[in-house]
Amino acid sequence: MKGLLLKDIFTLEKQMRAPLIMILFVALIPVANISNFIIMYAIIIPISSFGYDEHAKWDRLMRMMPIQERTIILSKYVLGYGFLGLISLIMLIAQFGYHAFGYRDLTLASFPVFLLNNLPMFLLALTGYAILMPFVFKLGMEKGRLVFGAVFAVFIFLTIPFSFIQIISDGLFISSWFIWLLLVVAAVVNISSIKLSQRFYSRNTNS
Amino acid sequence: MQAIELTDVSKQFKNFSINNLHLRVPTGSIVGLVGENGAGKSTTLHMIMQALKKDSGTIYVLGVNNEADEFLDVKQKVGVVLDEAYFPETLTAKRIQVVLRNVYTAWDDDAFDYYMEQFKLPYNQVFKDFSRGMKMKLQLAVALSHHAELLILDEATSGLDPMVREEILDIINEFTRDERHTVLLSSHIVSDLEKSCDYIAFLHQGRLKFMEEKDGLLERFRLLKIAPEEINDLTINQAAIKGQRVSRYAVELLVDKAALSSSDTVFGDLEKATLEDVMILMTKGVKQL
Repeated sequence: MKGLLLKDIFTLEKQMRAPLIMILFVALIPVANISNFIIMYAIIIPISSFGYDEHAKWDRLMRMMPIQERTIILSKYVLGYGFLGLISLIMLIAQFGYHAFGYRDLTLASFPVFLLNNLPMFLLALTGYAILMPFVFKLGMEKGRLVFGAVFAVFIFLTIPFSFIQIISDGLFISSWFIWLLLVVAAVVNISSIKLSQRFYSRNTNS
Repeated sequence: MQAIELTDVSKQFKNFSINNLHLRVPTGSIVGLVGENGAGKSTTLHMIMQALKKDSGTIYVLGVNNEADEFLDVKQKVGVVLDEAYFPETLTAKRIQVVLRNVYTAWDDDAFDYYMEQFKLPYNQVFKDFSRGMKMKLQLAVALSHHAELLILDEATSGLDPMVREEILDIINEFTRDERHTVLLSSHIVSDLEKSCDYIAFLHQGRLKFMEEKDGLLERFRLLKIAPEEINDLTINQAAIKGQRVSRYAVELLVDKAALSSSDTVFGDLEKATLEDVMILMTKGVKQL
C-alpha cells in the first residue's frame, strides 16, 4: 500500500502544485459557498493518477508484483481520502483565518461551527468520489471522466440549495441529523463502491 | 524439481486460445519460449504470474499453486522484465527505488546501486527521457534487486541494439550460475535464445509444439534442400518431415532425423538446421509433396 501511495504522490507531485496554489488562493476568498466547488475540484487530482497509470500501462507491471488486488483498489481510495482530507483541512484553516482577520466575529467557540460547515461538503465529496471510482475502474480514465462530469453536475445541482441555506444562515445552521445522514450515506456508498471496484478490477484479470 | 509447471492450461479469447498447455521449467535452467507474434507467449507468462486468469488447468510456480494465497509470497521471489518498461514516465530511477523498496520485502538497495552503476544508469533523470535500452536495463536492475529466484522476461531484448542485448544476456547467464536460479525467457529473436537457453519451448497458435533441450533439438532436426523436380523421386517417411519451405528453385524440408527409416532415399546432404529454421519451417507446416 505504501509503495503504491508513494508512486501516486510522486507521479502527481508536479501536477498537484498549480491546483493546490489555486485551491489555497480560492480558499482565502471569504465566500462560504465556493467550498463545494473546491472540494469537488480536489477529486480531480487523485482521479488523474489513473490517467498517468493508463498512459504508462503501469497496471501490466503492477499485476506482476506481489500486491493483492484488494491493496491496489484500496490504495486509490486512500489516496482520494487523503486529498479530500487535505483540501478540507486547508478550507477549514482558511475559514478560521478569515474569521480571525475580522471578516466575522471570532470566538474559539466558533471553531466547531467552521468544522460543521466543512463536514457536509467533505462527506458529499467522499460520496461523489466513491460513486465515481467503480466507473473509472470499469471504464478507464477517459470514459470515467465523462461519468465524473455527470456526477459533478448532479452534485452541484443538489448542493446549490444547500449552499443557499448556508449563506442565509451565515453558516451557523446545520442540523446534526443531516450530518449524521450524510455520514451514513458516505460510509455505505464507500463500502459498496470498494466492493464494486474490486469486482470490476478482478474481472479485468480474466480478459 | 520444477520451477514452473503448467498442466493442461487453457485460456479462450475471442480470436485466440491457449489449448491444453503442458510446460515444465526445470529449476536452474534457462528456458526460451519461442513462437511467432501472437503465438501465446505473453499470455502464458501473464497466466503464470496470475496477472491473467486461466480458464482451466493448474500452474505451480516455485512449488506453489498460483491460485493459493501463498502465491503472493512467491511473487516476492520472481523478477519480471516485460516487453516495455511500464513505470510512470515522470518518475526517476531514485523514486522507482523508493517505491519498490516498499513493495518487495527483500529489496536490496546495494544490489540496485550495483546494477545502476554497472548499467551506467542515471538516478535523477525522469524515466521518459531514458532510451529503450536504458529502460530495459532499469527493469532488469529492478528484477535483480529483490533476491529473485526466478526471472521471467517477456520479449526483453526486442528492439535493442546487439550490444545491449549481449549485455542483458550476459547478466541472465550470470544469474543462473546459482543453481537455484531459473529463467523463463520469451523472445522471437531466436538467435538470443540459441545463445543462452538450455531448453527451447516452441509455442505455435496457442499450442506447445515441443519443449526440448536446445542441443538435442539442433542435433535432431536437419534441413534437406532439393530441387523441385526431384521431389517425386524422394521416398521419405512423411512423419519425418516436420516443415517445408518451397520456392521456385528449391524445396527445403525440415527433417526429424529420429523418424527417418533405413529405406528412405535422401538426395543431397542433410544440413544442420538453426533454431530459426526449425521455428520458421514448423510454423509453415507441411503440405502434400
